[in-house]
Amino acid sequence: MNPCILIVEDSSTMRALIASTLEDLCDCDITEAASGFEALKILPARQFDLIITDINMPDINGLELVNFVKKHPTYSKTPLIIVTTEKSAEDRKKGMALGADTYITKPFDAEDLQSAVKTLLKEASPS
Amino acid sequence: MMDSNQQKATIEFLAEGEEILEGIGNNLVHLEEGIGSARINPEIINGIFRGAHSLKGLSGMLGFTKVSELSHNLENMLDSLRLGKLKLAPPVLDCLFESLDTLNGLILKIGEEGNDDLPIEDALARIEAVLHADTEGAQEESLLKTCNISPAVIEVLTEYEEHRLLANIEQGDHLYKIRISFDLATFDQDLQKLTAGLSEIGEIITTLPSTGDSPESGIQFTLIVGSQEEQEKVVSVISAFESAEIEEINYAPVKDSEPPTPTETAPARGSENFVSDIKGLTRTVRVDIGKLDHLMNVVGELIQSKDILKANIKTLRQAEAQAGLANSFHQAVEVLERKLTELQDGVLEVRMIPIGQIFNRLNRIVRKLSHDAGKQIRFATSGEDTELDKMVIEELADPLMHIIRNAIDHGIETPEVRKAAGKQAEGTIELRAYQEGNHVIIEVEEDGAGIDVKKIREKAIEKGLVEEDESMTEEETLNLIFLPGFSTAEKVSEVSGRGVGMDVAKKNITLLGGMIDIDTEPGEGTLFTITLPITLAIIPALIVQCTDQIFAIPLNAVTENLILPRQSIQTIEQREVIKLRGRTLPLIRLQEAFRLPGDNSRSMEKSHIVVAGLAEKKIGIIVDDFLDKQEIVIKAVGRTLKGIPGIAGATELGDKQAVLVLDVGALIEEATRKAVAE
Repeated sequence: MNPCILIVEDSSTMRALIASTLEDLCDCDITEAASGFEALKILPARQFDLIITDINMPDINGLELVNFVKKHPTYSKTPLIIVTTEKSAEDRKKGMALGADTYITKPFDAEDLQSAVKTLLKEASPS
Repeated sequence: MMDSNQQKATIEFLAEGEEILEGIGNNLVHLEEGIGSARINPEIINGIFRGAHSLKGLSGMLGFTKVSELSHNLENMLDSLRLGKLKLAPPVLDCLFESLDTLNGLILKIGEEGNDDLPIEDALARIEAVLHADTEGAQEESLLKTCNISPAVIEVLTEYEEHRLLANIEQGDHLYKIRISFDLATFDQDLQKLTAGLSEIGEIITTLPSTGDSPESGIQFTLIVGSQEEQEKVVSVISAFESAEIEEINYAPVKDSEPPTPTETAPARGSENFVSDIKGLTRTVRVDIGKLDHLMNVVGELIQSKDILKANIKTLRQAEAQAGLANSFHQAVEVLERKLTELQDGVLEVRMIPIGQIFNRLNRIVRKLSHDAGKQIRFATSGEDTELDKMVIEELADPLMHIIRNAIDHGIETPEVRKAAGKQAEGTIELRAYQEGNHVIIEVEEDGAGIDVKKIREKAIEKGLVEEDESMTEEETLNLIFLPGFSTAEKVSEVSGRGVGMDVAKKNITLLGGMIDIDTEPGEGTLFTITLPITLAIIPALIVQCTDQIFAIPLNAVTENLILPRQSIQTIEQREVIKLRGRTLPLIRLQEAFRLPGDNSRSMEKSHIVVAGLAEKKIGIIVDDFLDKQEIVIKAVGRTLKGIPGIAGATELGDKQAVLVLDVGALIEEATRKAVAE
């Protein structure tokens, strides 16, 4: 089974960049959400193996999403990566405190993101 | 070398970048409108911040260092602004507008040359200067401790949300915590309804989702809302939702800060101050115009195939034995025809965008140019919702920009001159758009000095464009400003980065199948009227024959067809004319206009005349025969025919025959110019 990955990010170009970086890494099913709100709507629809989210988004922000996911009985085990710019250091710290598994700063290095994803996917399915 | 991923990303980046800058521009205009009032919707500044933030992230990823550096600095400044560390003052706003112009220039450069190699030092220095001039320290942290919001809520607030919470406390507003549960299946609509209602009476500081009691079927939200309204009012908004609970959040009053005096600093917070800006799920898709062009061509070709089918059915019907078959074909083609029309309308509709998009861009240009020229100008627009084909709108931006630039440089006088002439110091430029039948009319009207016809003539004689003894009507003289080489003051426009003269502006409009007219009154001002067809993609056309050539004439330019005996054509001052319902209609012979070989149409007993024209100007075009009416897709003509006046493009008919499409606007001009020359 290909891993299912949810990308939550309000910039469509950034979503496409993240998606192509992941596709270069492995065969995966990628679902994109343009806001935290859209992510809430999509989450129950399928089981995701990994969530990658931005913080600064209109409506539901990334921190609120992290908090929601990490406190939810169904999703709390899902690994989560925050992708933000270095400007949001304070916010990122909060995100990690809320239970995000790792973070990547934009502009990101493809290899950094790929290795973070690889590690988290492996940890989640020890086979 | 760019790999294909990178190339694709760059194309996406350009589209998204343009969209972001457009959004920033619109928000800046709103910000400027609100600068006098004490309360500006914080979401406007936050929106600009988010735009700069996204742009920085994207350009950084793609290696556009100049865009990245500038948007990074801009983001810093906006961050200070949205966190209340920097006050919004006119110099800050000027700096924002200027930075936006620089960014627009950079994106344009990337689009044209693939790199953003332009100087940005000035823009960076301006941001630096603004940041240094006025930065207040924030003493916010301690304040937050005084309110009884649970740490669980505080820890999910972004820095910005924390600041908004504190800003509400500083303003002495009420803070409410609202808890509400929704069904998982319908929470999006419900939440949207709730937030729309709450935005009208206050500011939603955060919307925190939580699992709630039944995580399988429900979702709970905790909202923190700041408002001047008492609790009852908020209750009335949320009472539509059964599960809603509300609680007021208490906080210690802010020391050494005056409570806001309602009369001057705090206008009632109503929907006009707090435009609700709730973005729901994305419902739009960005489509490359090239893909739409392709779709349009496919539709055009389908329509041609349908026409062939129809013609064949006609033949089939004449064979009596096949009448049954013909009928069944006929019915099928009828359905096909209806559906094709639907498809065509659908594709056309997708291409239509409101003209307001360029109006906003022009707004910024007027602001900058009038500032540079030391003139006071009010820019008023109307008809922003008028829709036009995207391609037409894009091609229209430069000509409009040039006309407006001219209006600022040469039309509107300086405040001193205006006052001396008994006018208001502030000049007005009005930009109006409206639809009239198959055309969209765009008017640019200013109340400046008007164009001095005498001076135009003198200048044209000086430049050798007209002979000294040539007699011209006022209208013809005015039109001289559209001749290449007329203007002396033409320099590369700083705004667009491209040199566009009035002649190019006119040419662009003519290429779009449009016309431009000038109306001027000395001392009162000038009105430019641009008439454009709504779409260029598929148009109905009249197919005519002249000698052995076939031509198509766009039907929107045709008013009627006449077949008249040869004798009804008269010659007045060496020009052929007919009298049509009391008016004199000048004629041109297509054969002579294009110097087509073959029998001369003058010898025919009956003359076929197509009466064509846009707006008030009309001519009769003499052809040999009217053939048919057909839907055509106009395609650009090759190099050899480009630049021949009177040809707008080429098209293929159902039988794959290539024919030329006439440019009626240009023919009319040619006819009037000839008349003048003779």
